[in-house]
Amino acid sequence: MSIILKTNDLTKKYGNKVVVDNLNIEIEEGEIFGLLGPNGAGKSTTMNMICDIIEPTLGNVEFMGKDFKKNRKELIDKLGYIPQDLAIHGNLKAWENVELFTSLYGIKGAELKKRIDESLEYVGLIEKRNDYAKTFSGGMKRRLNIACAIGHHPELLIFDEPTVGIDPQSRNFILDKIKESNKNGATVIYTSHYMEEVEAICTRIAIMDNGKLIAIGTSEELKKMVVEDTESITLEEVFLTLTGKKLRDY
Amino acid sequence: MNIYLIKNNIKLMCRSWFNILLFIIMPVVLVFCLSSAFDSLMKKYEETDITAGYRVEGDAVTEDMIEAMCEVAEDNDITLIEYPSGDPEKLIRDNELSGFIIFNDDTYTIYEDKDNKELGKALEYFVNAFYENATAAAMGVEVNSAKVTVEHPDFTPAIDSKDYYGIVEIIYFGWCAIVAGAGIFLNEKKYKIRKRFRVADVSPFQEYLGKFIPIAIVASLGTIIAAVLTVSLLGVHWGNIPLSVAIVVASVLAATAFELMIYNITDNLIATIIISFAIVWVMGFYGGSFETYMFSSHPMTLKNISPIYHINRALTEISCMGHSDYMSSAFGYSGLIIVVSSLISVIAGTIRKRGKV
Repeated sequence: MSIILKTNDLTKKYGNKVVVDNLNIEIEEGEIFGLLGPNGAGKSTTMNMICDIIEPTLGNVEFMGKDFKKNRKELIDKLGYIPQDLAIHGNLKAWENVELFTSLYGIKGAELKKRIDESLEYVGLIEKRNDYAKTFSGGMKRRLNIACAIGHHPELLIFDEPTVGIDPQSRNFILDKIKESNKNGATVIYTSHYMEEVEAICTRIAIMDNGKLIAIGTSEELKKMVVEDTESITLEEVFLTLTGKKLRDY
Repeated sequence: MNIYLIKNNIKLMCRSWFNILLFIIMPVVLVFCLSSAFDSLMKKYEETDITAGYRVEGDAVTEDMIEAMCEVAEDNDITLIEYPSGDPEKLIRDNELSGFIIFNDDTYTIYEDKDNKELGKALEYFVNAFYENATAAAMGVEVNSAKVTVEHPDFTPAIDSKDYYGIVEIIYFGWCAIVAGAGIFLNEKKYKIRKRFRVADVSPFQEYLGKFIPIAIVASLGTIIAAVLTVSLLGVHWGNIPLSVAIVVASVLAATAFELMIYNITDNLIATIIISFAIVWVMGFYGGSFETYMFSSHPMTLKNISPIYHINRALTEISCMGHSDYMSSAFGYSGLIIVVSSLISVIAGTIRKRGKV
């Protein structure tokens, strides 16, 4: 397996506060990579730097073997980002939302129409293509949020907490789709607070705290960092052991 | 240029009832209220019959010529009465004349009533036109010397309150263009939609066009629909329609660019609306949006600084005279605002591109 994404000493400072501190991770092509951390650990900032939404203070991101920032134009359509916020327009119909955000990657005309249907079909919203997004339930909005980010057929999909606030059926649907995308060849970076989700779908997991990478490995490897008998401990217990039980947002 | 971004932003704006209310319904209601309220005030500036005195003091002025002039004047609602003697100014006062003409051999002097200068100017225009046509006829040039049309002189166009407010209030609402995009700005911020633009590497220029073009289209359309409604419901007269539409569109484009610039600098919709509306109010105040600018006592320098003054003046003069010397400055001001504001917007967008979404 080749490395699809690599961060080199990635650092972000706001004034004197270090939000991400010398982060070095390598993500292999074809894996589902989970990024865990308590609130304020630096996950979202890391995602934003990976996607070149914000400028790192130090370090860089290599994507497909090239400096992402310097080769942005060439690499941009290989990356799909599903933000934690429902980045859709309520007053646009489902197909119009997908059209708008897919067109940002230069796709147009008949090909764009094809991609719209394909994306809506993929997230199970083709029957609702002409409905306004504001009439959708939370789960449907989450699925539309995904549809808006996959129309340009990215090779790396970044999911930032895609299952927040939705029912178990919708969550299950989204997780199945992530696995399906991965089987179809996409590499996935996945962040979530739901440990069982991460454990269920991720091939490797990294845990961040206070801007630093504190552990990385498969679910089994992480458990072994804490106890020998991996059957007796959950990923959540591992997470709490490594990051502590103290509240982060008080 | 991403046409899908423009198209969908237009859809978003057209689906907002607030835009329909602001750009179509409110101007029509306001025009109706203001034109009714100021009807009597404006009536005194409307066209009235002119009665003027005259005296012949030169030998070269023939009786035939004076007779012809009196006939033509009569056709144009101007009554000329001969007063062989007496002080012209006293005669004007005593007989409530609009003016007094003294004809010499090759010159004439017109005395105007200080309180009715516009009538004096109309009289001056009439005599000028008559002499020009008479000279042309003497030179053998075929002219319509029997029909001299008295037009309202440039310095004080006669316009009624309905036309005046029908025009200036439409323009004023057009300068609230930024409100058309409010829904998009709020959504983009609330749901961090701009993150998607950043990830897709949409350039600040593309992003700017994605807002400028839809807002300009929707605000222009709303303004034009409101203008059509004022024409059909209230009978507002715009004069030269294509020219007026061009000036209205240029004005809305300038307003859009100017207010988008403020938004791109502040990155805050509330601040943008407060700052924009304050500036537009001041420009409107000196531009005649709240009073009859041509009679206002504001210093000319301040009026000239206000783009709205040039736009209002051009449109009201086109309405009542069919042409205006302010046309070029109205277009010039609008063009300058569009270019400068757009440049600043793109620069501000480029600076802000990183670190804040």
